[in-house]
Amino acid sequence: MAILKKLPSGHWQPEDSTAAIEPTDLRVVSLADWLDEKESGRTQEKPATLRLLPADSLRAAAAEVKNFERIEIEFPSFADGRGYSQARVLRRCYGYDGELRAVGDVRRDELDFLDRCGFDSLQLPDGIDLTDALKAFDEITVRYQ
Amino acid sequence: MYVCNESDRTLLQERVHQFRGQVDRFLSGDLPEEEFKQLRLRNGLYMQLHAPMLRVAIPYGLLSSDQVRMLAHVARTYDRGYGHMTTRQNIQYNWLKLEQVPDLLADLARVGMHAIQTSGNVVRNISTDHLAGVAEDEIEDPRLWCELLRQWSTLHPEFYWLPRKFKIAVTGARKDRAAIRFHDIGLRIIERTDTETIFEVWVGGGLGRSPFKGQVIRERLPGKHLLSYVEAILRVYNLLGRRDNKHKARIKILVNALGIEEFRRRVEDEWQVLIDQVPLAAQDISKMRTHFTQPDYDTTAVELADRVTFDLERDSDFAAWYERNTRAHRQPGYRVVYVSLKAPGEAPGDISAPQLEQVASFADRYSFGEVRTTHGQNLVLADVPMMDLYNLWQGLRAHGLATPNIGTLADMICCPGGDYCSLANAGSLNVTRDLNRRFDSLDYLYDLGEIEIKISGCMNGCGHHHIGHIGVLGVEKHGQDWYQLTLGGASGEDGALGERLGKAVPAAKIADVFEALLTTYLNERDPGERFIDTWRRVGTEPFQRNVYGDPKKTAERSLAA
Repeated sequence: MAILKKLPSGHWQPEDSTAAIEPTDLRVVSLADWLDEKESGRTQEKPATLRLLPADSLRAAAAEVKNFERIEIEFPSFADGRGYSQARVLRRCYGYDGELRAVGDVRRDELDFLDRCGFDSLQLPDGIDLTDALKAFDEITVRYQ
Repeated sequence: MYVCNESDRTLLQERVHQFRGQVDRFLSGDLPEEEFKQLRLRNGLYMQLHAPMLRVAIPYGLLSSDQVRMLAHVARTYDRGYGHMTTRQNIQYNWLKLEQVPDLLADLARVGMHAIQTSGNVVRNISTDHLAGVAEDEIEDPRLWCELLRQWSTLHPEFYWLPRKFKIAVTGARKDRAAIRFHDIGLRIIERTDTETIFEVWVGGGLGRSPFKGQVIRERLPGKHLLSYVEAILRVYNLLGRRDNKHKARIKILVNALGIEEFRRRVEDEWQVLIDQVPLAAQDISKMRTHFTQPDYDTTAVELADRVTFDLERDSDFAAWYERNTRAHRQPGYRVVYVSLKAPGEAPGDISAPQLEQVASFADRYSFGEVRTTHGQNLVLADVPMMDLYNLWQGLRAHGLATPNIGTLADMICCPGGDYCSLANAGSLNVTRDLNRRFDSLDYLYDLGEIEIKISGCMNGCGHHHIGHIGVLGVEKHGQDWYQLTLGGASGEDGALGERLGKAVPAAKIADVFEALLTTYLNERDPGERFIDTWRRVGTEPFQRNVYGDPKKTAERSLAA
């Protein structure tokens, strides 16, 4: 599983796969579970990664997002575009400035759109040609929006 | 007109290059078919019955003569020498080779044309009134707003994977010639002050298998908020529209499931956030307005306009054409000319390469080098001096483009149907052929007056049968083509969905059924009354009686008798 990350310069590069696993990678919690834990007062450790599903209500997440260093947005299918709006809402409406990662059915020809919606971290399927994938960010340079 | 600038051109070239890469990867097996399908659709490419079909965008139906010549070149070089105009003002080519499509797109890009977002679950071509800028009943030319929307929606990163396709239409006139009530979003300019344009916003209209007339979501929207408001609607739809069933995925289903009040509340909430994020500065609007100024009209044209009176008196064929195929113009001494693509024996909306080239040269000679495409699948030369009408008519007639039938029964809207389309349940072009054959007397057509016939070969409704005065829907029964008829549909400000006439009728009886309907109208009408008005007055029942006879008998029995 390869990860592409966006550098402060705006360029993308593969994450060094030999780097030690960060502690933040240890626990991923769904929004529903996190809300449950909070309600029952069972939050033991600070979970670092929130996983959002396409049907999750962002409103329910609004007050929570700043607790997370990383939020993953899942794409169950590459043709399901809800994650793009979720990303924009998190970035632009809720001011989320942590890592925003696209996971699931993420494909080469969508990478630039994901970038433009605020993702700065992309989990790509195994076997993808990374050199080729990196070209996807530069195919269209003119942006009307 | 808006002419694409350096960055528009760069985008088109980049998009061609990108698409070429996608085709190459597909052909070499690196791109799976289901993924390529989604990518090619977003660039207008379908795999149809016989060959790939490409839908080329004609933003808000406006073309320069050079672009029209390019469409002729494409027809000749890559297709079988003709193209087909669609109800959303685009053009389709039906006989392409996949490997050649990138070259075709590169050719189009040279004149600022493309196939971006003419298909797929994205915001489609923005359509509008084909009389924009010349109509007497216009409040403001809607095309500057169309171009702003076109740019905003082109490769919008948030809305490239919507639940379903999304169509926006804009009108700036009192009479609605753009069917805005039957679009996902319909925008109607209702007021123009010195500083502001005010829109009425409609949402949730659409045809297809669950037809709905749209509803007003906002009564007054200042133009400076147009993009933020449309973006708010799209965001709510993108997040909440159904994705589990493609037949329930259009925004009309969401609007009706939530109810317009709840849908409006959600949009307004979202809009409060977006209102500052998607600005439309006054100078952007006024700059765009400079691209849609009126042409340099010849003010002496009005003095020579009288010449047409002489021609009208001496040539009754010309007079018939003038009466049917031209319309009043705002500018004294000018007329709007319809180029009829409804010659009997031809598929409605089809146009050949030589015809396209002729239209381009007529546009250069008589109409400031511009051509428009219409919702009704014809072309328009919008700014013709009246003194040139006779010459233009002769030219058009020599190329089969002057059939004097605009607005008559023969001016049918029709999808390509079972002859071309892989979705169709039945033929549609055969219906137009049968009707043209049966009703071949122009005098009869003129006596019938204004009537809109709309024909679709399946319930997806590309021929807009729901909103025809008489709608025809092709259905398949036991492997044969049958037709379901509706009466009383309308696309404009009086927009309505048609009422079912009764049981479906077989292909062989369609002309007979029409004859019965039209005879009913002729018998029932008050003087000067149009078909639709008679129907509104007397209802469907008298028509049913004449078509089906005794109501106890089934359609099959009475018609088969």
